Amino acid sequence: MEKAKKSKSIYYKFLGRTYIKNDSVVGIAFILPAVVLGAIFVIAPMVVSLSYAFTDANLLKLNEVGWAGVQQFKKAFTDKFMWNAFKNTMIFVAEVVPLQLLAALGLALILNTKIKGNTFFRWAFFCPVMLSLAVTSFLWMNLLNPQEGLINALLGVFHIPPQQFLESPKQAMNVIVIVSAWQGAGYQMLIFLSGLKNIPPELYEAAGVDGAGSGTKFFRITIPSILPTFSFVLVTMLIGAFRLMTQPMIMTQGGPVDSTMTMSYYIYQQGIKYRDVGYSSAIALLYTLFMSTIALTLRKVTDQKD
Amino acid sequence: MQTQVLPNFVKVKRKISPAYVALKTVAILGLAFLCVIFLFPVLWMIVSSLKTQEQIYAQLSSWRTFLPATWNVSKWFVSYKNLFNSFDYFGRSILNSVIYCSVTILGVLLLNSFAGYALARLEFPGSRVIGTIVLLLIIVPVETSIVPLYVILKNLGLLTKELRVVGYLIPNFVSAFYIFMFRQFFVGMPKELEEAARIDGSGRLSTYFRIIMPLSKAIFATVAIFTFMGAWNEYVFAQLMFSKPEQQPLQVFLQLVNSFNPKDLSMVMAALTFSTIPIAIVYVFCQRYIIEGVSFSGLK
Amino acid sequence: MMKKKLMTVFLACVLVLSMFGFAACGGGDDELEDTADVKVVKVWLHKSEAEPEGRIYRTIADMFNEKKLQTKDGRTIMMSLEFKNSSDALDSSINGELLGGGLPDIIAVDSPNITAYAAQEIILPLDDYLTDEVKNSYVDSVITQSTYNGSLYALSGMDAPGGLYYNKELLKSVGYTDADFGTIAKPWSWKDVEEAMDKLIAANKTYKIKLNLGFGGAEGCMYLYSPLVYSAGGQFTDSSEKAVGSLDSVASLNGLSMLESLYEQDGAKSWIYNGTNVNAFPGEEVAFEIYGPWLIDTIRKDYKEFQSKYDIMPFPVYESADGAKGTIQSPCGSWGFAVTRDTRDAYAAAQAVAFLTGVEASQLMYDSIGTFPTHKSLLDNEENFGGGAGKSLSDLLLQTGAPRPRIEKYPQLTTAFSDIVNYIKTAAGTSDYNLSKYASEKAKTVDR
Repeated sequence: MEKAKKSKSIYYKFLGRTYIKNDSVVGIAFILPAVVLGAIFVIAPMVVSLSYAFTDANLLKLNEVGWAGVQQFKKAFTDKFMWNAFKNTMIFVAEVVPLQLLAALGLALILNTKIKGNTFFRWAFFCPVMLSLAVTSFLWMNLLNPQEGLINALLGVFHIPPQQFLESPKQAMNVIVIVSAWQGAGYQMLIFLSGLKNIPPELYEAAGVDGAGSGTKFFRITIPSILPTFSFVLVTMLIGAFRLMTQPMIMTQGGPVDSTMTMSYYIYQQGIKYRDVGYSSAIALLYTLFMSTIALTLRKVTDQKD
Repeated sequence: MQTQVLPNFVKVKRKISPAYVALKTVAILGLAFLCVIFLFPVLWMIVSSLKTQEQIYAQLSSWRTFLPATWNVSKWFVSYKNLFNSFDYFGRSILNSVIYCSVTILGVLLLNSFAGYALARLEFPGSRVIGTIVLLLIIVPVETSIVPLYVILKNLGLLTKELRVVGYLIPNFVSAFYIFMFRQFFVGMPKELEEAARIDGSGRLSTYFRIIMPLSKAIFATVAIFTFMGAWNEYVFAQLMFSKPEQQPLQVFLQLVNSFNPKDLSMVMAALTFSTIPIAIVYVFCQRYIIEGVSFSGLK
Repeated sequence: MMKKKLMTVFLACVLVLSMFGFAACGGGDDELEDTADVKVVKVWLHKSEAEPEGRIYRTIADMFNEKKLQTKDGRTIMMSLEFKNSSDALDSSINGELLGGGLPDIIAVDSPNITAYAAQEIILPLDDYLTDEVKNSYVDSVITQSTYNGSLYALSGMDAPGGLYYNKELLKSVGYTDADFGTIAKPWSWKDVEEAMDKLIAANKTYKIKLNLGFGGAEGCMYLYSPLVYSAGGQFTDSSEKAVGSLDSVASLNGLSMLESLYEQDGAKSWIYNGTNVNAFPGEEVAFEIYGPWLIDTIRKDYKEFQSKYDIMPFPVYESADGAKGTIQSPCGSWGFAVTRDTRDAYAAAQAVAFLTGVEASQLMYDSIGTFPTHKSLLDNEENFGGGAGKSLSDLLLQTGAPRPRIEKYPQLTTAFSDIVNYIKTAAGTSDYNLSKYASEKAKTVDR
């Protein structure tokens, strides 16, 4: 009798489920701060953005917002410069992801062999990661100055004519790709390196005993073992690349001739510089849909492989 | 045959064949080249900050561009002096960055680990719903531009001069990704330890701080490092939020130095170099945790 | 064990630093604050204090503070300057405070932005705070450019007329005489400029032209090259402020084709200067330069022997294939000051604006940085404007000044125009170059 009474006070039912009272109190207390802040600063901006997408909201006149229906979306689809920004972002993604991934993997493979000065090399490759994105951008902006930059001076030593780099619509995005990969590769290198170190040496020994060459070992053991790491790095890098903004914002302001305008930057520019919150939100919504499709597909593919 | 594999290998290493030497030379050259690629901009940045602008331009196409113009150390730091003289708030901006990073790390670690723990260990009404939302937020990359956040901050009254810092910092405190990382870690931890502590009469909160936290250093370090990198690099939002130089973090302040007219390249390089020192110190002292943390994130 | 210790130390450091941080945030800053007898008027500037123009503002502010003007309630008005170092930085600071209510009392504003800011109610009308005597002192162009919906929103202490600097001596050496040079009555067209460069090339003389396309960011392009469009009879927008049909009209494109022609032939003749020497013209590295008034002062001070060798003629006009010439239009307009909506004492702020752009300030800026005064009394000064390059420019300003378009969507328009000009610069002569298509796409971005 007494036991039943006690258990009744510990448990309670809510919407058909049974919970422990004490757990509920502690759990809610633990999660409440995160839920509150998350609702305000993560969920609410999405809701606000979503609702503004169907209006003609202006940043300075948020009290007089008019319904615009799907007008903003129609505009977006006929906006050549949004498509241009989209194209630029895709070019960046398509170039930087393979470049940075392979560079990081290559460096990690080098460091995984027992070469002398391993620590030094690791620090050397990691060094650019220590520069922040802004420092990297300002530094390379000066290095790549067509008239008085170091790079053109170095090219001159090898009798290569000076290049326009960030001032040429053809080169600017490629330059940003290279600078971004230069800055970021060291970080993914560390991730790959730990993935490689976690491969049990017995695997290699066993393969060696079976007479496998180093090529076979690489493709049969190394690659499959770091595949989960690889897919993790791939997805995070991809999402990061989709959101490129700081580098062009500092180095080129989207120019020359719109060649480095990216989606995130375009959305920001429409919303803040031109105060067109409605339009900015509409493009943001479309871009979210796009990125989610890619991310979900990728996760499905990589999950199946695991 | 099989037994020969190992001795053979050892022998090759001892008897230095010309092919091996060639291969090794190529490998060393390749490595050296890679090092040059990764290091020369950084080296140039540091060295140039020790010269005058005229010296930088004069030596640009010679190898001396990578060496200080003079070995008289007392003349090296002229640009740094100019930098601090020309910009009253340069030092302050570094301090600001350090403060913003520290507060963000603290907030992120506390809030997200609490939430992660609650989701991993406790069941309460709504826990499943929240867990699902967290998962969804990770999987779906939402392009939340800064614009709506800016509007919300305005409505909360967090854009006044005094509260701007708060408005800048708290939106970064909660992250679905970190909550998820903590949750995964706590789920994988054996329950017995905390249950033992509970039987000893310890409350949930003290169990958390006394038992759970010390056992979860790896995950705390990982999240701290991620947060640090994100907070230290933040540029776009900071650039929008801080119009007062005394509140600006370093990354935004650099813009001020770079756009300074007339431009002094040597001063710009001094600013870039100086602003890298704090983060380099953090990396050197915490390298162990960084490697651990980064590795952990890759193993997820 | 070691690990644990390190971690503790690290966390402790974080904790200490953040406490320190909160303490530091709470601490007061050393800028001037309002008191019972002092009203501080804060000004945001687009310059750095290391520039001559920035230093002039400091001098003017000091002069103002010595005057000890009074607010309506009897407090002393003190001006406090904040240098934002560049127009971009000023812009992003203003953007950051749009919703925050933290704009200073006064902001520097480039003349064409006045309309956009006024329409968005970022700046306030000044009429109620200024006497007619003060307003009447300014030249008409300042009042026109600062008026929106019948109210005066800003004032400017300087104007920056621009034109074509040319090396008289060089041109005379290839057969030109004083009577040949362009004047307001008989201006040179771009074809005349090209012809002169060809002659210089043939005579093996210095021949290049410095176009200053990168000067002053996007706005600099509109400032120096809007006359291209105007001269050919083009417009930037129609009466309902739509750019489509104006910016991409035949007339506007005709105007732009002048620049196009320069760049198309640049591959063979390389007559466009692309070095970085700001004093390439007085240094005789180039024969021509399109620029504002700032060089006059540089030459007066640092290139005395060059003084007699050059003059300024009107911005080259459009010339059609059949030889018909366009109208003369000169770049003009410059930065002014406006009172923001966040000011707490509009009267005090307006007095400060009037002083920052007043007769004394205007004269001081002319004397030290060579911008043009904007007060009728100063332009009558024979000594400065009676002859030479100064006279040429002041005539241009008064008779042919073509203010930049004044529309609410000016930020979009100026970006679009600068993009178009840069498109010509980078793409002219390449295979997929199509100016009219690009211009009409850009015009659409303005109207959206």
